[in-house]
Amino acid sequence: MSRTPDLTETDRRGAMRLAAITAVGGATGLGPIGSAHAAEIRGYGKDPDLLKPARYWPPTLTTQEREGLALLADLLLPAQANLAAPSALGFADFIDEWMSAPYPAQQNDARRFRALLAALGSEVGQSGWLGADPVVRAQALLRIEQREPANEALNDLRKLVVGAVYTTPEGMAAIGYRGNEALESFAGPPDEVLARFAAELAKLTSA
Amino acid sequence: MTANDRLLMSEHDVIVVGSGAAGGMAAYALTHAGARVLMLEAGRDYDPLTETPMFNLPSDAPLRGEATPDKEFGFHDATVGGGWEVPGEPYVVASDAKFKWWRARMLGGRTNHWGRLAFRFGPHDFKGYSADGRGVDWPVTYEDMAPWYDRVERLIGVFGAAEGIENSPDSPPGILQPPPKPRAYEAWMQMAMGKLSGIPVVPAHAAVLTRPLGDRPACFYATDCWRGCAIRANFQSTTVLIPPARATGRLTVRTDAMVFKVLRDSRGKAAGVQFVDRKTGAIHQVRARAVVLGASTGETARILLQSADGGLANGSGQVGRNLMDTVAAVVGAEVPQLHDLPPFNDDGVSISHVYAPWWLHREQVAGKLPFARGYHIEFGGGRGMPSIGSMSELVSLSQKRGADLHEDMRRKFGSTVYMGGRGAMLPNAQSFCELDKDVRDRWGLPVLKFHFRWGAEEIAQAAHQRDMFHDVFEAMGGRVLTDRSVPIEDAMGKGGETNHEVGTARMGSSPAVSVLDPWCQTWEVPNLYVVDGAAFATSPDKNPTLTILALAMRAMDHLANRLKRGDA
Repeated sequence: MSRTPDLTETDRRGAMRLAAITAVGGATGLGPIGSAHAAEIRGYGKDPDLLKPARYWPPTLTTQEREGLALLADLLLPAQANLAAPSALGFADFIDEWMSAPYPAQQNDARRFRALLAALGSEVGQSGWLGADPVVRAQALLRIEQREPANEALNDLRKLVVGAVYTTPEGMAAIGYRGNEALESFAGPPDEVLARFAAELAKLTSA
Repeated sequence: MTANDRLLMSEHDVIVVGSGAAGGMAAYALTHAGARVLMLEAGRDYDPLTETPMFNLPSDAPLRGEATPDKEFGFHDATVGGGWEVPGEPYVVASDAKFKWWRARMLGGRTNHWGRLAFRFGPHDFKGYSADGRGVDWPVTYEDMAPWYDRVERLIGVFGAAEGIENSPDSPPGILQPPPKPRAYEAWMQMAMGKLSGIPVVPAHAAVLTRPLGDRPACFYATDCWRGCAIRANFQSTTVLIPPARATGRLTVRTDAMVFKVLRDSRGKAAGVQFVDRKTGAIHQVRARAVVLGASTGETARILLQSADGGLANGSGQVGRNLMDTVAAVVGAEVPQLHDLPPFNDDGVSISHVYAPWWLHREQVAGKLPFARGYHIEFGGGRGMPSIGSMSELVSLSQKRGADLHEDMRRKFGSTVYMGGRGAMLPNAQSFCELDKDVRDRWGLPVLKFHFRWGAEEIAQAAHQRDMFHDVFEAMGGRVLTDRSVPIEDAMGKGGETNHEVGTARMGSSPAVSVLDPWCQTWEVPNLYVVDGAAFATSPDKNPTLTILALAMRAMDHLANRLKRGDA
């Protein structure tokens, strides 16, 4: 899907929180998070141990599904010089936990991503998605991008791949996130950044 | 005899219902004045020192910590036992209304995860009716409240600066702690909005320590405040109010105790309360010389409405009425000036370092705006710790694929900014809560039914917010992510969604039109006080918690003096 996060929603913490909360619903196209009644789901509940979370639900993907989705993730976000491929960063475990979760949003994703895998398998023919020649797989992916709803599922999976990769310590470092460490004081942005802002503002005011 | 038996039979001067900003402050003030206090909290015991996930990464949480129906603000959010839904404790929303009610079931209540922005109400906020004939006046002035704001800020620790802005009062010198420097996106917005849009952006006021205070250390600039704080650098009732109240030896805390009724004696005075033990379902009674309700705007109204036919202390008919929240429109944009920044630590205190106070007061007074009350602007975005949600958003902004997608994510990381309006709401006859005639909770108690409607003033103000934010972003060449053509009534948040619900037992100057007198005691039951957001007469643009704390401290000083005189 292509819509941006639902920016009309607000929450009590201000816009920063809103970005984090609504983006998920927007990203996966599953409607507003939290719309399901709490009594209808069997997840980790309203009072889980935040410091030592348990494994609240069993993984349900087959080996073939895990490998197929990891392979697809590597195509969507290939390895870089400074960052390993999703499959090497635990993507199969992540997507297995995601698609096995009992919540309505994740259950819907599971249904759509399984259908996506099936569509890709059909595209590559008898060799199957995992056994297909890389060129054949790439061509199949291009054809899927022309078809709905498979393309919508592919776009949503791409968001999850990116999200999964950049929420690992390796991914955070590669994207340029620095933080989550105790500091004596907060220095603010470097002088070079502030100088750049001043220059950019000067351009705007002189235009 | 069990501990529970001893508790039920022991002598207390005051019963305090609730343990958040209102209940926590009531217990703090009363115990320090020498009163013996029994605090009744509906939720479980909770200790931020041992339960807060400090430094935990998304990968340390199920589903990378993303929101679920169990944890609607994400796995690491401090809220226990609640959220928009509390199992077994439903509420009803009228078919023509949009309203959401956030509840926690934990010691300290919502202070464990609140936003920590702490602005004083200004002189015009307390006397709006006198100025423009809308809403009602508060029965107190800013001058009445200023000493209590001073005391609260000294106690809890608030950073900020003195800016001399109309209706956004400065604190006296020496009270506020130094504000942190703006983060990169905040620095840009401050520079650009001042120059391009003529909107001053100044240091925010927030209840986070930037210097040690007593035995509490300063913030170490990591870990989101809404997880709670194990080092006690931000304000939570559970770290700042309840421990020193306990240290007096005069506070008894009973958790899992959901109060549903205020008891009265033969003279009509409050004699105690009834509560249901949420673990066992057993109903208990406890007695005291005075009762203080700080259960939250909704729960306090519910208790009053359940306590007598037609509602206790409700001769005015105002219990449950005048429900208000905060007017909030949000606009986001991709800001090109924030592209391709070098890596640096921009975590800060996680709360807004800067904000834009209402800057059009004079234009409003001159009648140049189509709404009577103002709003301030809060900011979000930047280079915080990546989440599935924030990264998904970046993918939505990118047309790149494959290897190029990596580079685009790195280049655009931290370049989305959100402007959130926080505006005043006036009371209206269509916004109130009442006991639902049919629905009961798991203990058979009636639940609240909410009615809510934004008034014409609020709708006009929200439209102004949205237009202003679009204009600001477009002036800097930003790519606005919000569809401006959506009808503003649809773009506004639901009532209650900003978690600033107030007004259901308002204070006033006359028992004919208000539930509480200027000291937050009910007009009709003089040893019954209400000290939470229910007491508010109006809902200014400033976030309510600091004023709840100040009102509660002031009211409990009044009660403590009465107790010492034997007058309660």
